[in-house]
Amino acid sequence: MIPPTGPIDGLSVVDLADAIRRRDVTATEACDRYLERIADLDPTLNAFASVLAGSARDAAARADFALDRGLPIGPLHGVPMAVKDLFAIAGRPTLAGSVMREGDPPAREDSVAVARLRSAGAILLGTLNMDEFAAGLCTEHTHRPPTRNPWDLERIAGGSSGGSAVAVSAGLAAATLGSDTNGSIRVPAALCGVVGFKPTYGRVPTTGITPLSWSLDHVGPLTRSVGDASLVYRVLAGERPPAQASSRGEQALDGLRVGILPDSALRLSSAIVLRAFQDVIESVAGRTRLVEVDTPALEWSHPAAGIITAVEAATYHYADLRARPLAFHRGIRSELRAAALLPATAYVRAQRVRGMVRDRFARLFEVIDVLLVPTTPITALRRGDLEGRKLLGHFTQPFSFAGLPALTVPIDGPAERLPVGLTVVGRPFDDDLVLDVGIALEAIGVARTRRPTFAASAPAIS
Amino acid sequence: MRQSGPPREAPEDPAFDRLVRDLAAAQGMPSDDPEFGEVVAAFRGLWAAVDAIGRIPIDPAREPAPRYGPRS
Repeated sequence: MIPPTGPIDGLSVVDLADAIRRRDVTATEACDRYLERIADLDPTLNAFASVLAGSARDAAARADFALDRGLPIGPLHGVPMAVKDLFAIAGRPTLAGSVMREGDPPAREDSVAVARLRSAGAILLGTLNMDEFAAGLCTEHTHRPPTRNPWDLERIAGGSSGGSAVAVSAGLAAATLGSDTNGSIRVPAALCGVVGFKPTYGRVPTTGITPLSWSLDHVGPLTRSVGDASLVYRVLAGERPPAQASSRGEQALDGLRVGILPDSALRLSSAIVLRAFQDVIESVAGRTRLVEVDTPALEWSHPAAGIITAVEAATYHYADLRARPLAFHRGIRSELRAAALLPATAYVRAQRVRGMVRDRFARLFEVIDVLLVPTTPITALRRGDLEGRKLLGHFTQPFSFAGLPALTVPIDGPAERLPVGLTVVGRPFDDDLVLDVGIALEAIGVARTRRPTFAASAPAIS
Repeated sequence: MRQSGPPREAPEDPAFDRLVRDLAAAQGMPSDDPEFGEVVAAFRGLWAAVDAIGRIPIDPAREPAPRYGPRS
């Protein structure tokens, strides 16, 4: 039986898990419907690197069996999900978007994140396309056909977790996992119009993911609502049972000290993004206390994070850079090769700058509770727009560099054509407040996930 | 890491080009392939970032030496 609330692919994670728990729909039905949708739409979108139909159906059947027998179930019981191609999955090689790994032995065990999803009852539909080794913000540094933005197939999905964002946006999975080093969850989430959450550094273990940069990598969820992001994040963080999402609703905004940057810091933003951002600020101004703040930490972050990322990535890939440098994707290999040649003093100095950036942000958060910024200064670029790519990480890189929790939610642009993202940033380990603010923004109607035209016109699955 | 953007133009400075090739050769990395000019250009881009962080004033009073040992 299909739940009366609508097609399965439109249900939130929370509602789908409830529907399965109530037996309004079986895990097998949910799994089959998502697999049908992937078969229909993914040949066009290229979100999936691999579809694990057989093992997903087996897991769904086991989930139904558990419900039949009244066995204990987890908070994601029967919910079809998918993960970026860099999460280790037991029994499969971890390709991380690269042809260089195709001959690798299979992983002996799941990454911690995948293990926690499975332990909570999630069904793994497959793995998702990404920039090779997570080096990129477009999902065009790939040996596969480019992942396409469901809002406009000629535009980039963002990256490097592009497949993760597209799968959620187009309804090919109830939720997905991505990784974020300089913006790789938040950028594609914003460009595809979904929610993306990068928790505080270290809050979710990265064990079992192919690293881009050990000291900057984060793991987090991409979803269609903040409530869903909260639930998946809590599972990933190992909460047993996961705490309930905030029940404060819009009251979370009352009296909140909200930091906003001066116009000069937003100067790179397009008119569409700026207008959408200012509309949000006007919407929250009445019940919050707006505080204009500025810090050199934003400017300092970009070169220092760039050096650390490049040097750590080159260190990880050092043997291949010596033995077969031309096997890497052309979009990333020159920089990896160059990074291997930088002096050690450059890396150490960049880490010292990182300490200063953390210090400056700590001082900033003495006078504010959260900071609001556009997630990206621009909306999704046309494929091949190489110049515009330089802007994509402008408002994401500083916050991953400092390890701060950052949530992007979709907001409406003036034209409501391409999605625009708004980021809520908080103090370290203030993840709950950041999520509360996201839920409040949904409650007052300024943040909402819309269905892309492409997916809406595709065959319904119920 | 500059995660996006076009390949940079190879610099005109032959001495810089030679330095990067020598650094690669010293590590046993290939430096004679047709693409190595792009590696030189990328190195120049990274060096611009090194230069940028070199201009950030580090205050030893606020940013003491990193501590890596166990903490009591």
